[in-house]
Amino acid sequence: MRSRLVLPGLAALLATCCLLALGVGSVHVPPTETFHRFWAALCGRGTGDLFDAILFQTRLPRIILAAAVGASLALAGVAAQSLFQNPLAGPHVIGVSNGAALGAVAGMLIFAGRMGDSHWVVTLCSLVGGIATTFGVFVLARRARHLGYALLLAGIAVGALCAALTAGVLYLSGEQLANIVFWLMGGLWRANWREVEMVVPVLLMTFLMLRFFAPEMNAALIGERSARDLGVNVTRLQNVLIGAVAIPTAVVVSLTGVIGFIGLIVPHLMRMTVGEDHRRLVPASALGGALLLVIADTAARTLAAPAEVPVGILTALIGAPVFLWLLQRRMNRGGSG
Amino acid sequence: MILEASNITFAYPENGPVLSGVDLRLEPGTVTGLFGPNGSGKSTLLRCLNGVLRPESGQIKLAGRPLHDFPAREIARCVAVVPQESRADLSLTVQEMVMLGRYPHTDLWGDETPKDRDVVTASLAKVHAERLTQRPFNHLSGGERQRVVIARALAQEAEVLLLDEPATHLDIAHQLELYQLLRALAFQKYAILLVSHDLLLAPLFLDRAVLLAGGAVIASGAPGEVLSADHMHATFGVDLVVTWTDDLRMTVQLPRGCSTKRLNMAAC
Repeated sequence: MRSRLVLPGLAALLATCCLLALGVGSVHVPPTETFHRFWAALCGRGTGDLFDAILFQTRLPRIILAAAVGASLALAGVAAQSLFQNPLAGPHVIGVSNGAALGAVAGMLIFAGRMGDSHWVVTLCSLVGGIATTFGVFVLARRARHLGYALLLAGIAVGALCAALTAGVLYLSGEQLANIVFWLMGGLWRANWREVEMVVPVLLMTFLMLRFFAPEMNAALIGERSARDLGVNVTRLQNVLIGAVAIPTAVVVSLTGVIGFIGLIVPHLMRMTVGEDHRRLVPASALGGALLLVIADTAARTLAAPAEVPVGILTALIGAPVFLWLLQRRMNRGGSG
Repeated sequence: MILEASNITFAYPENGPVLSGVDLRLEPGTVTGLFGPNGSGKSTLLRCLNGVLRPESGQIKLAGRPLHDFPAREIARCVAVVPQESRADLSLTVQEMVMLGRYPHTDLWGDETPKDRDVVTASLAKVHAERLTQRPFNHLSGGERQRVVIARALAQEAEVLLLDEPATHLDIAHQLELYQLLRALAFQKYAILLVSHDLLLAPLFLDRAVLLAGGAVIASGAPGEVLSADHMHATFGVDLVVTWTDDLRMTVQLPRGCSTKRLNMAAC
């Protein structure tokens, strides 16, 4: 019964946080006025004044982008944990974020200035990096007897390799260095409606795909072999999951840089709340990821106002200790990973 | 429903032939035991019988139709497997674990129907595990876990059950309980294949036995005849003589020269 209340509760909490976040910033708008202006704009009766411009042209796309990015990363985490049958997997931990970042940085340098609208090319390069890394880590980890440890080690190795290559590319980047380094730290300050239009379809596609394959992901919980015995097409499921890890991660990384640990902690925390059933875990993780990043991004843009802290730093500061706690908990229980 | 393998051969690319010319017939209401040394091809045969592995030659028929004409989910509705080992760290409740057995019957979104819930309840009742329904799977004992895994197989509503060494980690009480459960299921017209290393207790509960060595069937028929001293010697290389009587008595004669010092000490 408790788990049935989690989804509506998370949705209500997310809506409330988004509304509150809309009013927070250098120009403070009280929640009631935010609500009235939001309602008026929804009904097509917006005033179009300066406050409306701040709320709906600057803050609203950023909040929606934060929610969509958080949800996408959390869903990528659910897919990674199902693919590797390991709750310690996540797009950041298994090196996919680094692979996507390498692709994006390479794309930025190669195509910067050569093409009118290079962002799609950068996203494409990021996709190639993300998919290649997910596939590479998966193939490396599968060869080992203990997939859990092998996954972490392969992820560390491939992630480090990608980070080193990224550093090498940065070394060659010349005057663009500062911009790219700041982008790499992860942030949503460039948010606009165009970026929202890129992330939201990817989020919806990932969500529908994972929800559609939730029964298969449930069956895969009991192991690859037993899932096959139940009639699951395991190879197709693994291909879908590789896509569900790599595509949202790569698209998000190409737009916002590396925002780590959301894909690791959110599915894990949601699993502790709603259980292992992916029919509940998928929507709960999407809502949880959205909620966490909306809160983190609001903190990022207000903690040191008028300056801004890259939100990737905040999520890493929260995520790394939680990750260590999870690792310790698992080792204490004698889990093999 | 009859599951029948005729003259099947199978080879893994890296290991060479594993099965050669194997015949096996599973009929409703019977428990068939499949015995053989490690590496004799028992588990491979089992995975051929549920369509996960495809034999290189020969044919497997389910209810008279070639097995590979069936889609995977349809096979799972007819043939259920109880694996040798199950992940013990899952925090799914017993109810959720058994519900996974309904996967071959679910719709596109995997939504549970009242029928699914009824079948899960009935399956848990068949293995006497109703009181475990809300317990997390990772809190169960080995015997309880095995019963739940069997309930999951029953929830598939398959008429053929293939069990891969299900008694390996069970104590004697749970082994007896398991074998009696299999007899009860056979009485309900399930066709059951029990892959086992238990050459002492298990044969008491079988209708037929099949002995496999080097991927070929050495003998098949009544358990007492199949597990004769000669076959034991030829297959396992030990001079073990076991006899079973109809009044459920069993005598074991250990190989000549086998030290029983520890047994004598315990008797003192």
